[in-house]
Amino acid sequence: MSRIVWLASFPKSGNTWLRMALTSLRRGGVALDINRYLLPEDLNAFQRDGLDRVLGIDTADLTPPEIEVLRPRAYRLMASQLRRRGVWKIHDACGLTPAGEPLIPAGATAAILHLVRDPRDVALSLAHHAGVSPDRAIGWMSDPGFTLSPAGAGLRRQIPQKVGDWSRHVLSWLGAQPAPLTVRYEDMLADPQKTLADAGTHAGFGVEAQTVAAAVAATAFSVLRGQEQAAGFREREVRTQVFFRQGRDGGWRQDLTAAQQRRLEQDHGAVMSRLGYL
Amino acid sequence: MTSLPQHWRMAGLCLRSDFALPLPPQCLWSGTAPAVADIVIGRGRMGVRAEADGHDMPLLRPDGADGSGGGGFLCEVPGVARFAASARAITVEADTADFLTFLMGPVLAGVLLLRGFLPLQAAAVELAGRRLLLAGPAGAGKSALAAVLLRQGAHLLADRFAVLDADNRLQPMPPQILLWPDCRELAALPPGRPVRQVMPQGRMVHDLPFLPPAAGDADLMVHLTESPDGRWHPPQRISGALKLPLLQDRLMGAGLMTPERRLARLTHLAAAMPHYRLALPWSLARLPETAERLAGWLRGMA
Repeated sequence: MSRIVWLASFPKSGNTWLRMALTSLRRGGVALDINRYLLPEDLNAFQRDGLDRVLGIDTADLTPPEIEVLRPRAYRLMASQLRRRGVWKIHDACGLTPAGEPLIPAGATAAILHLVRDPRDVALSLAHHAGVSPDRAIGWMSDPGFTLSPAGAGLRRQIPQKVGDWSRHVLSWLGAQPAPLTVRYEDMLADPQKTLADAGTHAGFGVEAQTVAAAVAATAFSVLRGQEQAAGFREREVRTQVFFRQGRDGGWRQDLTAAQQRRLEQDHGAVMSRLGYL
Repeated sequence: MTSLPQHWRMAGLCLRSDFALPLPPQCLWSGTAPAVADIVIGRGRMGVRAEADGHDMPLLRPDGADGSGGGGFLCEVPGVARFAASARAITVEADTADFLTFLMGPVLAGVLLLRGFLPLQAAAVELAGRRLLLAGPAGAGKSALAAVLLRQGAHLLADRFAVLDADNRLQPMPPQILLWPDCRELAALPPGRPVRQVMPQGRMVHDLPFLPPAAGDADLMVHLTESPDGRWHPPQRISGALKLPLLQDRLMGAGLMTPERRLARLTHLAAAMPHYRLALPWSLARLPETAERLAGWLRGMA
């Protein structure tokens, strides 16, 4: 049963924001509570609890490769329980499990939305989010082994996610099947009406101009930032001061040094050119 | 080392095992074991398939080709072991010694469910004269909070999972706590042993040096969530129908119960005691402060 709409992106590329906009769209353009907005069919592919419940055992007692092997099966089981299409967030690169099976099961996949963002802005946003220097974030973005929530001394609510370096991550999803719609963060800023309408159409959701406009207004960055300031944001990590920070593009021009810009352009220039960032 | 088979006490039942179970020695059956144990655990061979009729199956699922259960269930951990279980017996086909991890967790929980108990994804402690259940998803901080509450004078009642009988009385579980290394320093416990041999840096099991408690009424259940602003907030009472989805998510082996039976049983549990939501500050470093505030809140309850 093809019910999963994958919302795939390298971290800090606007995934949460677009999902909120799609949620408002599916609910008729209503305003959202950023701490209680997820629809029952919307899941995080990396949320341990969901995998535990559908598999019936604790993934806490499984090694990372064992978890990875079970993920396609878990996703098929979870998708079979959905009553309608759900938007599932995923940060892994698109690839195969250690058993040679596609991580995202084709039979359960309805559509793929692939978000991209200028890696120079991603580096800044990642640095702020993780509470590290831009140089460290840039290092992660060039690390083929970059993993979110890696196995360590404590149990995290998220399972390990193999992100890899930015270029390979982007290329992996550009080549995914079914063919994804590539959504640029910069287009979400410049033309949110068209961007959200295109994304909603590709995902198979109803798209009426008035509803799209209402969803855009309901999830404007200023609105989300205001809610976070008032009541916090449960998806914010403890080391992150503010999740909805700026909501703009091009900040790298002021906040990255020339050397940092050069490094990113050197490491990722080919893919940046392909996406129109160079 | 006690010779095999061994007889153990858990949840008021006698377990007879052909394997040395990773339980504290004080849980060994004292005196003459019953002629017929409540649950018998032994070796066997079986052919469990990952898929049936082209459909993926959960790792823990009812036995029987039509999924009806026939009163039993199967559990398959790829590369580790396969189990076939009923209300009275567990057959183990093990590839590695790590089968014990899953035997002591989801498999025993499933058997207890078949026997009419409710195994819950929860720790339990007694503090300030009250028995409370700390329920939550994996990584919510149940064991960590329980461990830190021990330093506030709490007594551990359950950790791997909590078990309620048909009258919602908390059953005696082995005095063990399973902690990740980053929590151990907070809890000031001596080193434990790995829950899984292939994960020496993973969860550790720590045996505590006291007898399992007697069965007794649970006074309240606290459902752990994440604090959206990273700060302490006193537990908030959960009312009405909001309790059921939370309990549904915490029931182990839920797929082994019919939806009707599950609803009836959990509705009974929802009504049996007050339920609260506690938003935990995410940082481990703040857990001692949270435990102190929670203990104070409990002591102040009427």
